[in-house]
Amino acid sequence: MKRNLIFGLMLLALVMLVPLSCAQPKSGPEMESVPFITDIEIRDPETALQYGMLGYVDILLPSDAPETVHINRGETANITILLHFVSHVPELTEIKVNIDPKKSDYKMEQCYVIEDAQGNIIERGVINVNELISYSPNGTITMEANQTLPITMTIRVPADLPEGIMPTSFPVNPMGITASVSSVDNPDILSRVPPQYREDTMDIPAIVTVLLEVIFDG
Amino acid sequence: MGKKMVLAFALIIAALLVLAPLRVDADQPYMGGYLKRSVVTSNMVLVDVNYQETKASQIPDGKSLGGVASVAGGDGFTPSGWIYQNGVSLLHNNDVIWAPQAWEGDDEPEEYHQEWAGEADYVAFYERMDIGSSRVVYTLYAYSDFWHWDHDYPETHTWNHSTADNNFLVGRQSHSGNW
Repeated sequence: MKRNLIFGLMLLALVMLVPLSCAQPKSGPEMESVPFITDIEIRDPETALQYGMLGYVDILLPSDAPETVHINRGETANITILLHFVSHVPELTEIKVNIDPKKSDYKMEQCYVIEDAQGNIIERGVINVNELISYSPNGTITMEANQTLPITMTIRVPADLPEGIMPTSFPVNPMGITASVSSVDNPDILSRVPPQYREDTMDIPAIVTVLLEVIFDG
Repeated sequence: MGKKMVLAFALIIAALLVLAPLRVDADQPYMGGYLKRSVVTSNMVLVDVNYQETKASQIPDGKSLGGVASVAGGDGFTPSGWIYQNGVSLLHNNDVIWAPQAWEGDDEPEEYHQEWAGEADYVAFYERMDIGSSRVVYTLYAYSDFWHWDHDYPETHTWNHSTADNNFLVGRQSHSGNW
């Protein structure tokens, strides 16, 4: 009787556990996933260089800067943001940074609505944030490795925004800041990245960790 | 005899546990799956990601939890080798990063962008990709709370780059509608 019980338990264990070992993901191309890179990979020199990224530009706020800004309609506010260039390759000592929100491939919008007294939506619209941002300096500048460069971002709230819109705020990212290194012919730099990334002009990714909230009068 | 049987029983269990390694040990663990059958072409993809029930503090520092829409590009039913990804990543500190990107094959990121997109308690992130007129447009609709959700006015991020592809290739899989 006891022997039968033990055999029964063994059989039960096999039935329960064998499917676990058989259901493992197959190896090989069938189960491969495409990587998805974030700033974690870009900040890691070993991983970044595998992907042809020679460094990165951090775009951040000073530590004591508020993340919410109040601006009246028709007025502007100046915000200081910081650019900091980190080179993954000692031989790469400077890059070009292009600052122009009007030519950015990245755009940001805030949708808004207007309701009547009964709460029915009677109008919808969009605030195009790109049109409300400008920088000083603007254009192309040179940054050196480990340099931190303050930039003044001016945010404008249009005077002609419709009355009664909701929400009375919109988010602002520092858009339109890109970086690259051109005329890369230094073999010490080129040898650090796989051959397929060795181009005359190589982009330097920007890592944006700023999202300001601009609040205006309704 | 009885002790030997018990010992054999214990050894079998131990062996089976060793033979059942967990997938989360992989370098880039993921949940979910790929829609790989019944390929169809499309010019638009839309995926919803919601982190509201996720405890970001349980994500190891230096890691992220991604919600990524990943599709192949091509001309008709012929894949080009390009893969377009529109994704958000939740970090340990509760921040959500938007990082649309395009890969040529599975080891060459060719186009990349990143913005800070919100926090884990946002109601929803909708990742949209459109292809046409030689461009790929990535859009992220971010709803910060239910008030914005109810009125349908999201924060909208868009980014685009040129492409030689004409359409996306996606899979089709029926779903009961029950999750």
